[in-house]
Amino acid sequence: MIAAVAWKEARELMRDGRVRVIGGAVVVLAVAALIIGVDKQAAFARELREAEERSRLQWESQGERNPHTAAHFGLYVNAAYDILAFVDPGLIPYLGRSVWLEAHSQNPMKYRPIEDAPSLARFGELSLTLVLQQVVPLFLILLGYTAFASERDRGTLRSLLAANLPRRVLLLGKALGIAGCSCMVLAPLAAIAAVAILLGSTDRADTGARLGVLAVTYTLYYGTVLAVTLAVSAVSRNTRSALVGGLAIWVTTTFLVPKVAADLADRLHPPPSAASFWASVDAELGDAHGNSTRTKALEQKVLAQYDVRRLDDLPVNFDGIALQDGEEHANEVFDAHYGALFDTYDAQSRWLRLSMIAAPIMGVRAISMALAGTDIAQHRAFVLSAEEYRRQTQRLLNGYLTQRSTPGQSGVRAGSELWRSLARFQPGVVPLSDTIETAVPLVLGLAAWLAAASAFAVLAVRRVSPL
Amino acid sequence: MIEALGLTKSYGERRALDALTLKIDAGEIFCLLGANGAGKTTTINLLLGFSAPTSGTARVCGVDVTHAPAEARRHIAYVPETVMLYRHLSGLENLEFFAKLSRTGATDRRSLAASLKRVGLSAAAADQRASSYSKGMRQKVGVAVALARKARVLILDEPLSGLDPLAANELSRLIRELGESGMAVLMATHDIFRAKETGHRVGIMREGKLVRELATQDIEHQDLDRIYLTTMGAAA
Repeated sequence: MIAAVAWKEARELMRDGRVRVIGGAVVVLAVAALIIGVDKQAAFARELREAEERSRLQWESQGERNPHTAAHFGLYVNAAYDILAFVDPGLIPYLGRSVWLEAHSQNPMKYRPIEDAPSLARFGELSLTLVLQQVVPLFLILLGYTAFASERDRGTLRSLLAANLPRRVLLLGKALGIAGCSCMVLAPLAAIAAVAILLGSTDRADTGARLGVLAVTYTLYYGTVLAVTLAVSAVSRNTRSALVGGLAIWVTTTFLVPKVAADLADRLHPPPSAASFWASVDAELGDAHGNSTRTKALEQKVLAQYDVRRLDDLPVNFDGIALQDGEEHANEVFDAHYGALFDTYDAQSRWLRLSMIAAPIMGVRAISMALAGTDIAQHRAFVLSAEEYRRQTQRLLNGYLTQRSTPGQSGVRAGSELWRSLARFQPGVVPLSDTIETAVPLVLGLAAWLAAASAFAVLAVRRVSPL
Repeated sequence: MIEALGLTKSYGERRALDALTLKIDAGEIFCLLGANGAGKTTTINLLLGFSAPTSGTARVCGVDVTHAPAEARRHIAYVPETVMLYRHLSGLENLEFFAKLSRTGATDRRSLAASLKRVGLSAAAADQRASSYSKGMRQKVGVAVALARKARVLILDEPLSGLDPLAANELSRLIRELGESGMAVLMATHDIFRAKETGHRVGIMREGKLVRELATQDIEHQDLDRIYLTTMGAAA
């Protein structure tokens, strides 16, 4: 009986044109999003790669100069670019993927794509994620809103129940029919996208696992949307109110809840403004070039350590020691301020994940960004690795300076041998195991959503009356 | 096959059905006559288990409808006043769907096409989408659906309403055939002429009560007409 109901439902949907028209629109949007996304993100990734290569080349070919001058010359490094970022750019447009590393300062990100975006970008850019998270649920609603409401409108519900069809069979059959039609549209798209992503991946096992979790995530999400749609259709008086109800839920959970949740997260865990952040950092940093009381104390300590009375008598260059000491002090300041900033971002992220209680899309977004390596955790991993690289660079340069006994900085010169000895930057990434650990509770949350939505649908259909 | 004993349904103060007692045996066609709101559809809803009686009992093939409505419905084929079909499916596909739901009769296309032919729907019409069907064609498919259920009880709610005389005559003939095949038939109708032509017994309902019961072989058309008007007039 379930198969008969599913067959009937699917055949009706195929014949009334909804699958053809709306499904066709979904396919066109998804293909366009995939092409645009791959093109845009690939171009962005290529630009970053080329910029990093250029920066490295400039670093290595900067000629002979004082190591501290080289430290200020600096170089650019970029975050890792996972192929899944094509699917979900996540926070990339807002946070950027590139940072300039120099002495004394842990700089903020540069070249955020949102800065170059046209003004219409505020309405959201077309991406595969937008299609998967916003358009496909709408497609499911438009396929499913008539399921029970139109049976009631045209009077066939009475015939179905008089034919002794159990309500749960009716529900399951309709769900399978609609799901089948959706799969006819979505499954080939998903298969093509997955193959393309795997072919472009450098670590197919890792990418395959991420795609697997993503598939489970979207299956649970779409199942929830379908169950809610069927429940709304069952409790609605007629087809029109079922459509209005379905659309109202879609608008609320897809647009309003995320907006309200983000605003609440900002209010509950407000990050400092850029101006106040840097003002407090600068106030604590002091003079990075050694004219502070801290430097005077260090001078006395070093003279005592080497048992000499003048800096000129030291077997090492005090300027290198002072600069490194300034770096160590600055590192503490940056660790405290950036740590607090990231703690704020983490608190906001936790709040946003928690808001999936109100709308499952919040969980889907968090999982999708985590798997694509475009969330705040990935950003933090990159920032920490970049900062560690900057500190490693400063230790190398200041160490070189220290080992040269010429007093004062100006006399010390280094060449390409030193610049080349700096190891290449390896951007930090969140390991798959950590990402899975983050995703598991969210996936369980989505499973709970599906269970609740299914229970709602069963209860709603149980109340369907033939009268 | 169909038994009602003191069957009563109240909505607040209003009694939609008042202590209906009725027995319809196998092979018997019972026509319920009455004005709108007389209690005919309420009776059908109670027999189908779509609503629970306030008091009294209803049995179909010995099964208490109140306690086991699904079990009782297994024995019932139901044709509503206006048979509604899935407009994007053909008549044959509609029949195939409902036949598969019943799980009692044949579901192969050849048998189903034969069923549609038996109720008077041409093969060409059977393959057309139901959106192009007239009411008479839909009613024929409805009866074919009832046939496909292989049920022992047939309940029809105003099946002749809105049909042209030829279609009504065909449907009436078909109902008689079903009665002769051993089905117990309960048909609610406004049509006194068809009730006399089709039924073995006629019951006249007024304000929720079965006020008269007549054997059609004992009366002429004119008599039934007069009796009905007199009975209904008594209410006015």
